[in-house]
Amino acid sequence: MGPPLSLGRGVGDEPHRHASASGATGGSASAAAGSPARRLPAADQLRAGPDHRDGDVHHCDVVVIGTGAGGAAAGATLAEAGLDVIFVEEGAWHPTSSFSPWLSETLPRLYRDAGTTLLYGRSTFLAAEGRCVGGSTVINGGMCWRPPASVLAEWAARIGPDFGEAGLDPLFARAERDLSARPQDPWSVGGDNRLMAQGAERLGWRHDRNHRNHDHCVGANTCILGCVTGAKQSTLVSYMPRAMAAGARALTELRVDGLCIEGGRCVGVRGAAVDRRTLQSSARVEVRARAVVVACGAIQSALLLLRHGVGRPSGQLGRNFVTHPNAKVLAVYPDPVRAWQGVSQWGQVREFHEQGIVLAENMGPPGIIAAAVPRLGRAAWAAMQQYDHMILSGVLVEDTSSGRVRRGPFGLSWPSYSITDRDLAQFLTAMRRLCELHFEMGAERMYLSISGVDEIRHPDQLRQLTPDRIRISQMELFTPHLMGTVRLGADPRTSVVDAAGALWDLPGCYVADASLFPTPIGVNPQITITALALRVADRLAETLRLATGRAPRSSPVARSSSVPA
Amino acid sequence: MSGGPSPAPWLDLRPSQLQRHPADGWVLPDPMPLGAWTSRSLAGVIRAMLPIGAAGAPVDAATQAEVDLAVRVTLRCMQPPLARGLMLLFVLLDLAPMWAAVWRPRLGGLRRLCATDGPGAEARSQRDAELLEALSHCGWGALRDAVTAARAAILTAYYDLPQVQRAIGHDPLPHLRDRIALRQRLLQGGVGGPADHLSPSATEVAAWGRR
Repeated sequence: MGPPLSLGRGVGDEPHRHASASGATGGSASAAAGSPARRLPAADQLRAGPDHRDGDVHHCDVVVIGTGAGGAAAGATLAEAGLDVIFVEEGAWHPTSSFSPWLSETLPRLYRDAGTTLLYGRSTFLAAEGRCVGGSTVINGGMCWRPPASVLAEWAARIGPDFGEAGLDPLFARAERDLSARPQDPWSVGGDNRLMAQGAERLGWRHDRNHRNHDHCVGANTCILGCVTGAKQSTLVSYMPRAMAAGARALTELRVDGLCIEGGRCVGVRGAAVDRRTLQSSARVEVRARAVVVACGAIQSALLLLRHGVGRPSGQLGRNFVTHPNAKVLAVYPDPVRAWQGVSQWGQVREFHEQGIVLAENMGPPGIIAAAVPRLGRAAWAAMQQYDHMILSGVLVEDTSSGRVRRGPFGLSWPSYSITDRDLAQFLTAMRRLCELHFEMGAERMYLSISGVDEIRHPDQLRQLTPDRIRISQMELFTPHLMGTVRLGADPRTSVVDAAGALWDLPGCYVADASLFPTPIGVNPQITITALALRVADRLAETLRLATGRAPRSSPVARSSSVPA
Repeated sequence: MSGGPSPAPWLDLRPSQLQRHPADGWVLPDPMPLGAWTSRSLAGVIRAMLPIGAAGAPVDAATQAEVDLAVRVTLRCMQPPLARGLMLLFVLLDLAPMWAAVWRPRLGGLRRLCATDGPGAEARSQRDAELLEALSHCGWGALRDAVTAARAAILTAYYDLPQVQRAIGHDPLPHLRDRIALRQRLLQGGVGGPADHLSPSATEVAAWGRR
């Protein structure tokens, strides 16, 4: 085994505590790779699953639940403001050097429920959520779009001018700078992206280049598997190293199952370590803090708060769940496209954005493509022989309805969401457009994510894609964008948290993730999540500083106490 | 492509070898234990969905065992009620030749999918695949979704295996090594050149349309 990959510039130098201090579940990562340790933070900054002991109690200024686009940004801001921050993360800390192209390994490592999270409705469909340090930023495409002006105008009208285009501009700019949001370099662009852009050009459609959060992306196209080069600036390689450098600590593989509420105030969280082999709860752990920041995503944040009956003034907790569902078109070309090489989504077709429709390519590894081909056995094998000729592309449709997150029977989480008849018409229109583009560029046939619709080989077949022939239940949808459920607002009668991200009815508890969104935004949400989280963290840091004069800072070791069970 | 030693040697490891990852010590969750009946049912559904008899397709017992392992690990990671639902689904699909014979007599019969003994096993596998595919297009949404879920679980695992990817002419590792090396070069102050661009070129792509 050779030396581990070192990517320089601090990227890839993120801490990777790997195993139990007792060595019961594994040895040193560096030792395993046969090389000396790289620059790691002090070991007591990161406590992983087997290291948790029953009865452990940690103390800090702020405990942040979650390390994704919102949690990591908020935690880094708070830590850099001099506050003592502890992150609690249900997943593990997987360094860039551990990422691989294999789904069988990646899905259990990085995805909640190994990628099987379901949204229940007229068309039950899959939702992807990260469950690792870095959260969904580790497995997303890295698109950095600000919400359209019309969305921010509505936010300003609902909440106040701070949430309008001008009010949020400094926060967006800061997030974009922190995450290195920029266009792609030419050598990272693969054949599928060029084809989509040229197809759009021929049809006279607008095609915009994405700004993506990357530092020298070279088009490995493993965004959804964890970026193997470390180029994608997920919070794993951006905000988390900053937070750790500022003295934050992380408790990983620790599942929070409740808030500590005393005297009507939130004073911490409690949870249980996750056993690596059985995924069952083990050691009970508590973190006491002056403030709690909930940032575990639109589903998990709502479920956590619902356990405590908060959000009562408005009854909105768990509601306003929006998802930007998308549907796929798998096109097969006569020539090899090698769409698996090159960055995911160099650009997007935005000709129909005013109608709430965005088109883009989104190629995946063979395991994902096989699931998109409606064939089995030898027929699937025959189709997969042309993997190199395939382009997976998708349509993203802006929500016109919303769902709800609740606790379901038998301990299930129960996020419900249904597209409307209008959405169905939008999807079918968008899929016809996407097929037109592929036919324009010479595709031989297409598979659509519509159950019961066989392959499309001729443009005339697109006429069958109408709402009177296709039912909502036939749509095989998917979403990586989960938003709403803990709506931010100016009025406790219509929202769950105030403009500072604080729960209206639970002092000491703040929210800093996608669940804050007052409305759907119609674009990839990462940069908006980060901008809102920075705002929440700025105000919280100021509040805590004012309360004590100056936030104390002590050594990581002295700040934790372990209480025997 | 850049030569020299691999900058990320663990990329070569097969998923089933990653019980403990060399870079972070992470351990793969234990596969979900299944009863004998369910276990046979899962094996039967896997067999029905794999390309048994297709030229060049790796479908040996070891490959089927690797798919079985991946599905069981997924079951472990799922929310428990959903995992139990998927296990029940495998049992129902295993019995599909019996209950589906009512409306697809040619494809049905008094047997389970996992019954692979005797002459004509390969032909039966092909019929079983056709049967499940027919179910995935049927008018009953719940049944359609069920087959789609099983297909996703099994085919995702199968086409993720390195030997299967090689058999369809796909090997991601040289590309990934090349890109990792390129980024290292760029971070050290190098500049990307035409040789670093991913093919096909813009000119080639432009020529594809309107053939």
